[in-house]
Amino acid sequence: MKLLKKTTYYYFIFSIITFFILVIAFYVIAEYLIYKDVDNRLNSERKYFEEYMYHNHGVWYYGCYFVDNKVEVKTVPTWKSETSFKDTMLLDRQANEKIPFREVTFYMRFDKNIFQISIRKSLIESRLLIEYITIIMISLMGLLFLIMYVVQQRIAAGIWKPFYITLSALQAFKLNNQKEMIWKDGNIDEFAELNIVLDHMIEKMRSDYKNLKEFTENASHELQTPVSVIRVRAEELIQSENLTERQQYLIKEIYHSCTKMSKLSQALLLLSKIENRQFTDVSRISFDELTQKKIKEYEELFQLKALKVLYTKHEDFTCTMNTLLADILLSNLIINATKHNFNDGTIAIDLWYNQLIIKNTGEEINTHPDNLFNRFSKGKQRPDSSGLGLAIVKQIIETYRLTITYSYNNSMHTITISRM
Amino acid sequence: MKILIVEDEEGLSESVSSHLSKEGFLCERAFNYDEAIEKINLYSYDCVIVDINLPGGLGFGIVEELKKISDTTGIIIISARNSIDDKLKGLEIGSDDYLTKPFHLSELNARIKSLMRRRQFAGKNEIIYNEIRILPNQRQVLIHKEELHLSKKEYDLLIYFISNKGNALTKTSIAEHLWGDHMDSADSLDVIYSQVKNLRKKLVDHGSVDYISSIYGIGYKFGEK
Repeated sequence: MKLLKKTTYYYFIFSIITFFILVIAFYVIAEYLIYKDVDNRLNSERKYFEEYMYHNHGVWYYGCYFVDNKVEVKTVPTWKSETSFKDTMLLDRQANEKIPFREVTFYMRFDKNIFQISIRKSLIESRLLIEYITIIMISLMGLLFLIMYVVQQRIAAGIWKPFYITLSALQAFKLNNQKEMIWKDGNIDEFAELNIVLDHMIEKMRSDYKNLKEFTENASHELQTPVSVIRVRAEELIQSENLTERQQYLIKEIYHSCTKMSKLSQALLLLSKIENRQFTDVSRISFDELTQKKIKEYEELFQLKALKVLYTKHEDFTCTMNTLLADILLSNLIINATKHNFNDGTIAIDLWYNQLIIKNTGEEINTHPDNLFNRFSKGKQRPDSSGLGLAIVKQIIETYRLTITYSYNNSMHTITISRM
Repeated sequence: MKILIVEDEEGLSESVSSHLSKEGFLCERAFNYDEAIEKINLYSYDCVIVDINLPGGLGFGIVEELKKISDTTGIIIISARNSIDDKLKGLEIGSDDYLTKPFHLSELNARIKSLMRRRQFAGKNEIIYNEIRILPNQRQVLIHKEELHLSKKEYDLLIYFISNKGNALTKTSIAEHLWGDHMDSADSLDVIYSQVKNLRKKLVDHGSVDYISSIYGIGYKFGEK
């Protein structure tokens, strides 16, 4: 969940809970106050009523009050000293519906008559009052929370802005890109500190990476000469006559290992050179021409496995890149498609304006497709391969802002190179 | 034919020298820049093999100096720097060929011979090995004066074999000669076997002696048995 979303989410939950608690509390308090007021008035009316009754010796005419249900006097057999307040619903003749009343009930004795007297007051106005107050209260509080929400959003967005700038700068960060990182510190100490720490980290990473690269390059470079010497010496030995079978075998082993080692360090050197952008001269490469050339070049390889090569040029795929790298790219892909193919299989190359697709029949690979382009990732059946072919392909692809994808279905491996 | 080998790595220089001597070349060696400049100014060579990274200077300087002195000397650059720029620069200032280290002695030998042929028999060079006659300019192969049709790879293979006649050729060196560096040696073994088989069959079918013999696990050898 996004940071801003998260804070909004918490704010929202908090405000809703607070809002309801406040509304309920307010309602309860308002109701209590209004009841208290009504009860007070009922009490004072009772006093007037009692005064009146004493004055008139217990004689009461309903006619004095024209309001319905205002006062009710009943003769009851027993006398109680208690006074009780309660809510009740009584029919209003005007509106012809039951409306709420508050009533006070008490007892009076005149001679031998015991009266139970109920004095009532309509609650309809008070109810309306509570309702109005509550509605106003709800809308005002709602408005308050809304304003607070907007303000909070604005403030949060402002405060976190440097953080998001830093984050997007980090997302765009590439180790082999020497571009300076652009931070925006703002006036928040923590973010400024974060940026300083990141700067240090990146500097360290870059220098480590550079050292590592230089080491790889120097190591493979320096290895070439001794490897050359070993191989040349082995070649000389091969030429000698009268070797025993064992000697011949040993020489053969030395020669092969040496060749493998030399290929490996050459491939690593090539990789680091591509990474370092040392292939600077570029020209417009027509992949149509190149594909035709390569198909011709590897003709014998296809024949050996009786592969059917289907080349379809829909449109020419052209790209501005280094000639040697374009050559290596296509060579590696075609050799790869040949290597991991069945006998009597097929290789299909499709060229589009934006895409180069190479498909070949072959057994499903057991490496994860994501690891396919990693260095030294090789199939189990191929202990002899360097495992660098596709890594080189990927490095070239990345250098020229192309993309490469791999998929496998219907026992066809498909590698697609497209323009970004 | 006189060849100067300019290479600072003693072992490599010695190997190249002894291999080329066996091929009938007269080899001299120089181990640094100044020594090489001195030698090319004192003597004349048919071919000079120059390493780029030398103590005392870059091999390019030697190539430029050579071009000033004599135009007929063939120049082959050998370098551990496998960069297109170096290659182009070398060819631009007048070298005839460029080999990347580590190279096969047989490859170097084939390149020198091809260079010498181009230099010495400009226009009408031909390679003759007993009954086999090759006209490189027409890419034509004749056996007992009868034309033999070979595919491009078979033709290249035959030339490579004849250039290195009597020497064992490793499969790796054949693969690199025919297809360049990109091919993994593990993949090329079968295809080389079939190429050699085809060439051998065509030669024998046209009445040539079977000159090609295989050396178990290593490669092939061309020559009289």
